Amino acid sequence: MIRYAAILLCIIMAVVAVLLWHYKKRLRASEQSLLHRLLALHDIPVHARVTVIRIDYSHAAFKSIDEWLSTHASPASGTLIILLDAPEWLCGIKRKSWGNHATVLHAPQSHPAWSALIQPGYTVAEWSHSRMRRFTDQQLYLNHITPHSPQTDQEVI
Amino acid sequence: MNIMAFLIDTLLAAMFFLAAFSKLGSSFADFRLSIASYRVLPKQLLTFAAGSVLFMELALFLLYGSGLWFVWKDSLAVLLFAGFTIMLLRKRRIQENEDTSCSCFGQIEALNKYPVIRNVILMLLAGGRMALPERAPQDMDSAMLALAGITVIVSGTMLLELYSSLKRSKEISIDL
Repeated sequence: MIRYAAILLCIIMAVVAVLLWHYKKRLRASEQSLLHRLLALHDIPVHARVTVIRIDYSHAAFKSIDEWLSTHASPASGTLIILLDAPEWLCGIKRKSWGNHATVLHAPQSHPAWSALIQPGYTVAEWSHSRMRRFTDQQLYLNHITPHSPQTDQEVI
Repeated sequence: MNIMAFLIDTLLAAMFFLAAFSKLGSSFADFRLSIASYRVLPKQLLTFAAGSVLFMELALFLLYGSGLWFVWKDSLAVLLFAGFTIMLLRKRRIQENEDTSCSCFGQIEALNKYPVIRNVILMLLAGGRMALPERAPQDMDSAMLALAGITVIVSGTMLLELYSSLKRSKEISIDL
């Protein structure tokens, strides 16, 4: 008796696994489509790697994140979007100091779809080569994950 | 006595599976980074450490699900909980101004709150389990029962994940 129940449960488990895989695939596809629609809306060029980072200027880590963004050129192969939770004048300043590879958006005025994409609880969403990852700590992400190169205008000719 | 043993085993098996499941796939990279925030390991060992934790959680899930390795797995579980708690307390001491909840269960917020109390409870359960009788499957029927328990835990977790994926699908269908 218990043996048949166990076999039945195994079959149910397999079916649920397939359903989960199918719906997750569909979810990933619709998230990617939403991302591309948002990028098109803002006229942002799409590269193989797209990273969206949400930063709050009142967080303790803002200073070191700001420093990192000002001193590291974004890789040419990536699209970087920063949702900045800060007064508009600060966004304008940071737009200049963080380089022209990064698109800085004023978070309170940005489309809520951006926050929905990153998902509450996370601060970074990264799409690269059909793989999608989310991260909770922007500082750790920038220090460990992004390939970066030092600014070239520091080279002595 | 045996029912108590079975219940505790099942509860611990479920906890370990939930912990492992929340670190699979796209969450693994984030988990690996969260180990970096504890500042105990050099960069090169992060992937190995993250993989080891995941492996041990899956192994303990199977061991508690099947009832094998009595006393050994319970001792290992107690050591693991103790180790995680010590590291968490150490991280809190180092970084007093940042939020230091643990990411042991990924996005399952209810289990991530009060991690120290949670770990202590689990440690007591695993420790106390050793005082109860062993549960290793002796015959086909008890082996099938263990298998049934394991599939229920896995299916239940996947159903929860399926539910949250469907909910998220709705949130994502936004008209720009």
